[in-house]
Amino acid sequence: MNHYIYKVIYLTLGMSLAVLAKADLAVIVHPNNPIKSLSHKDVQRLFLGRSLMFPSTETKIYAIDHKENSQVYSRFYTNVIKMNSNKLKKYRAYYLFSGKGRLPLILDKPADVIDRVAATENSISYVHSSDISDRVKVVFIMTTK
Amino acid sequence: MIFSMPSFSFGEVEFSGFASIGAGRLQYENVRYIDFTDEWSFNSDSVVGLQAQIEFSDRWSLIAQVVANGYDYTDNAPFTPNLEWLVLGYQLNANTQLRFGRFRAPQYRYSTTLEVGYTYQWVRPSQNAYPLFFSPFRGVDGIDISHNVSYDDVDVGYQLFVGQTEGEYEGTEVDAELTYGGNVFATWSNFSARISAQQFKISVNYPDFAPLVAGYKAFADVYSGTPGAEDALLLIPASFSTKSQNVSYFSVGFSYEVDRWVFSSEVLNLRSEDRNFANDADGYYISAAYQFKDVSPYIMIGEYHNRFSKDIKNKVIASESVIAVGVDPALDGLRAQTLSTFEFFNVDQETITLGIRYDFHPKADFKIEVEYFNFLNGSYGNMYPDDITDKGRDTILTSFVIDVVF
Repeated sequence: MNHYIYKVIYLTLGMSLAVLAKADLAVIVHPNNPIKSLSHKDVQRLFLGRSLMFPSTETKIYAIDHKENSQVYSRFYTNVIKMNSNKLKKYRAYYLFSGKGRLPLILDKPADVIDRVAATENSISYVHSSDISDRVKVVFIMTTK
Repeated sequence: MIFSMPSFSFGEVEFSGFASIGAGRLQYENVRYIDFTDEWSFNSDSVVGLQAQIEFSDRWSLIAQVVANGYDYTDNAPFTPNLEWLVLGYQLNANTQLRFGRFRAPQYRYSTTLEVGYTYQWVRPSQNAYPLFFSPFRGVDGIDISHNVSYDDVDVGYQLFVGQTEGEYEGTEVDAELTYGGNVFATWSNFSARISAQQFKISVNYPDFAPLVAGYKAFADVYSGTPGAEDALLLIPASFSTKSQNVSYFSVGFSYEVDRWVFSSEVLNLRSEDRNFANDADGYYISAAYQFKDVSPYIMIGEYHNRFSKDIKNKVIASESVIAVGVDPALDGLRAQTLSTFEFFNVDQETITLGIRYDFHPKADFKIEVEYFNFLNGSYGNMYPDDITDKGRDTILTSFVIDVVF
């Protein structure tokens, strides 16, 4: 009997850890944005500034980032954008001082990011799926480790 | 439905900047390289820059950048501010932009961020592929169009530009009344490659040659009675400057990242019309860097070769068939001085650089490096010895720098 309980506890704990270790990252835009979905490549190009407008539109994007030391930031850039932090910061400085455009606005908390995206029509950002709100529209989702 | 939500408020000015504080020392005395000597000095790699950018709408933007270099190869006082960028951009569509104003010519991988040490691995880009004498041509006042496009997993950027530029390098006044060129940059996964070509019409004038010019004019007067002498002697100083010289510039580069390694290289090829004050240059570097957590040691090797036009030398030799060597020791002295002056521009060097970059802060790095210069064929590389007839020895430059962005 005890063995059975331990086994259940062990399994539950293991599953929780597995769930914690995997999280969906969602790319979000304002609900009025006509974009229905973005491809993985679109997301990479938009957040690296290789494309400045939403695909098939003439609307300039307003990208919003989380703090550089946050988990969601590091997951997003490592797993979705596929650029490590050392390369990314040099890339961003190169981008800025080469006159290619503005860098994403950085906000402190996921709630601030949601608020800003919900309030800004041309914005784009990303959050853990647990932070998704119905005030924003999800246009890309990816499961990461 | 009424779109009552605010968009990003266009029209806000965003400020950013960068700075480097560096110091270095050459092993040997009686020679200057950039602003380095055999005593520790701070100007060569120290710089501060401020940038302002503003987006007026989805399409229009303006960027201005003012840079104050510790040493800018002119007689300017250290840290004289220069307007390096002032560019009005118009976004034609998601992937195409037109720009008007002053911007950087895309000659090298780091042309656009030459002064932003934070963006590259080394204390400074290799002078083997980024020749110092080219610094007056770093910018263009003109117009360009750039276009980004994706082919499956490959992102490609194209750029075409046309304009003019002028400037000064170590006392030489240069003016590119017309320049145009293009650049293609491709990124695929961990590999990137670039190719760049630029054409110039260049005028060059070096006021410090005035005594040599006056010397030939004086001898032309003295020998005005000798048939052909006046013409032969005056032809020589006429070549000390040049006008509307065709110069073409070509470079390729790549970078490849595998695991924690970054390999990169650039190759430079410059060709001028073989007349008057002109040169051909070839150079390259190959760099390898390994990334530990925040510490990245690197090694870089390179070579640089510069060949000055034989035009002046040929005219001096031609004059010797009119007034032979030995007839007039003073004229012989002037001709010898002319040859040694321009021989100084024939440069051959190999370099090896070892260094470490340490990213001690998300917005700052510290780098220290030792660069070994092996001068070949008696030249002095891009260094300036007190006596230009000195034969170059090998030397070592030790330097360090702190780079920040803000």
